[in-house]
Amino acid sequence: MKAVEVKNLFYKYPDGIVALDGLSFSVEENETVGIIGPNGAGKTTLFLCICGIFDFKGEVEIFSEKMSKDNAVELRKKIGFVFQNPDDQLFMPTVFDDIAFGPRQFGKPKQEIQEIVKNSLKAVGLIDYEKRAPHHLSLGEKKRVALATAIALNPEILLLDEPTNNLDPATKREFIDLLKNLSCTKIVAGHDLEMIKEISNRVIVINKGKKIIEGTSEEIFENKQLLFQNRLA
Amino acid sequence: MKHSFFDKYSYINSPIHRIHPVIKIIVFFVFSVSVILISESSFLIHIIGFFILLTLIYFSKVPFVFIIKRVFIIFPFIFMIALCNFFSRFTNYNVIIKSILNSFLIIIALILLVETTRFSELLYGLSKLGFPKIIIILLSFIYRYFFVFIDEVEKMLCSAKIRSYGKIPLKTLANMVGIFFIRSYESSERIYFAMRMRGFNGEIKL
Repeated sequence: MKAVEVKNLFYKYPDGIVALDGLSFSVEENETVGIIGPNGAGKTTLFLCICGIFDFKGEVEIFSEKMSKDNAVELRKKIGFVFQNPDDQLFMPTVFDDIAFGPRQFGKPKQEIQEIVKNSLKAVGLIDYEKRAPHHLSLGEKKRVALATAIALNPEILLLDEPTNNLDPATKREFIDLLKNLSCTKIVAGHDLEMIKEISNRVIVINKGKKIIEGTSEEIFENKQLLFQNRLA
Repeated sequence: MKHSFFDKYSYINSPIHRIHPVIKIIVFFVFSVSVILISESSFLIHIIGFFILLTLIYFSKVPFVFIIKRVFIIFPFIFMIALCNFFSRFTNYNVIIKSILNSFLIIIALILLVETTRFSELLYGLSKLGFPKIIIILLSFIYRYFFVFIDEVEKMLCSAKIRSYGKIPLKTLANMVGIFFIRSYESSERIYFAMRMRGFNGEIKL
C-alpha cells in the first residue's frame, strides 16, 4: 500500500517564488525514501505540503486518502515531523511538557501520557530526561528529544528534515542507528549523502522544485555526473 | 550547563528546593503582604523579615553573595522610584525609607523563590493557584525562547565584532535589530508549524 502519494504538486510563495513545480512521487508503506537536493530545492516546503500546513495545488494522498482542508488535522495524526532546527520543535519549558504536548492536544488521559513520554524517551535513549529544560541540552540531545516528540504520537509516517545537520560524527552515527531501528514509513530530506545512502531504500533527487530522477541508492550515488549537475557533489 | 546565569541554583537539592511550589508561592505572597502591612507600625518587621530570609537562604544552599548580587541588579530601579519621592511636595522620609526596605526584602524573597524552584515548577504552581492559562503559556514561551534569543544576539554581535574594527557602528546595530525581528518572525512561523503538526488548533491543553 502507498503511504504517501504526491501528484503534480505545485506551491508558490507569497513573494512569487515557485518552490514546488509539478512534483510527483510515491512512497510505499514501511519504505525509507531519501529526498536529496541542494539548498533551496524545496525539500522543507514539500514536507509542509505533505502535512497539509501549506495550501498547495495538486494532490497529496496519505494511505490513499486525499488531503484536503477538512481532513488535514485527522491525516496529520498519522504523520510525525522532525524539523531541521530542534529549537523550532521544542517550545515547552521541560522535555516532559514537550513530548506530552501532542498527546495532550489529542486528549489522551494523564496516566497514558506519562507512559507515552517514558516510552518515547526510552526509544531515543534518553531515560530520566523528563525534567530537563531543552535549553540545557546539547544539540544531539535536542535532536533526540525532537524525534521523541514526533514518535510520541505513534506516527505511521515520519518526515525528517536534515536530521543529522550539524551533528558531530559520533552523535551522527548514533542518530543514524536510532533512525534505522524505527519501524515506520520514513521520508528523509537532506544533503548528508552518506546518511541518506545508509538508511534509504530509494532516493529522489529534486532541484528547483522539480523531480530530477528517482532510483535505488546505488543507482543515484554512483551517478557522479548527476550529483555534480544538481550541486550534490 | 548553558545559560546557567538564569536558573543556576534551581536544579540543586536542598530542603527548600523540595518544598512544593504551590506552598512556596503562597509563602512568598504572605511574606510580601505582611512586610508591607506590618512595616507601617515599626522597623522591627524588617529586622525579623531579614533574619527569616537569612535562615531560608542558609537552608536553601544558595550562596548569599549570589542573591545580593542579583538584588543589586534590580535595586537601582527601586532606588530611582524612591528618589522621585524626594522631590514631591508631600515628602515623608519615614515612608520612603520603609518602602526601600520593603522592596529590598521582597526582592530577596523573590530571588530565593526563583532560585529554589525550577521555572517549570513555578509555572505549575501558578497554574494550580488559578493563574490564567494564557499567562502561564506566555511565560513558558518567554522562558523557553529567552535563551534562543540570547544565543541569536550573541552570534550576531560576535559576527559584527569580527567584521568591524573597534566599536560596532550605531547603524550596524540598528540593522541588526531589524534583522533580528525578521528572524524572530520566521522562527515564530516555524514554531507555529511544529505546534500544528502536534495537534494545536488555537488552544493549548496543559
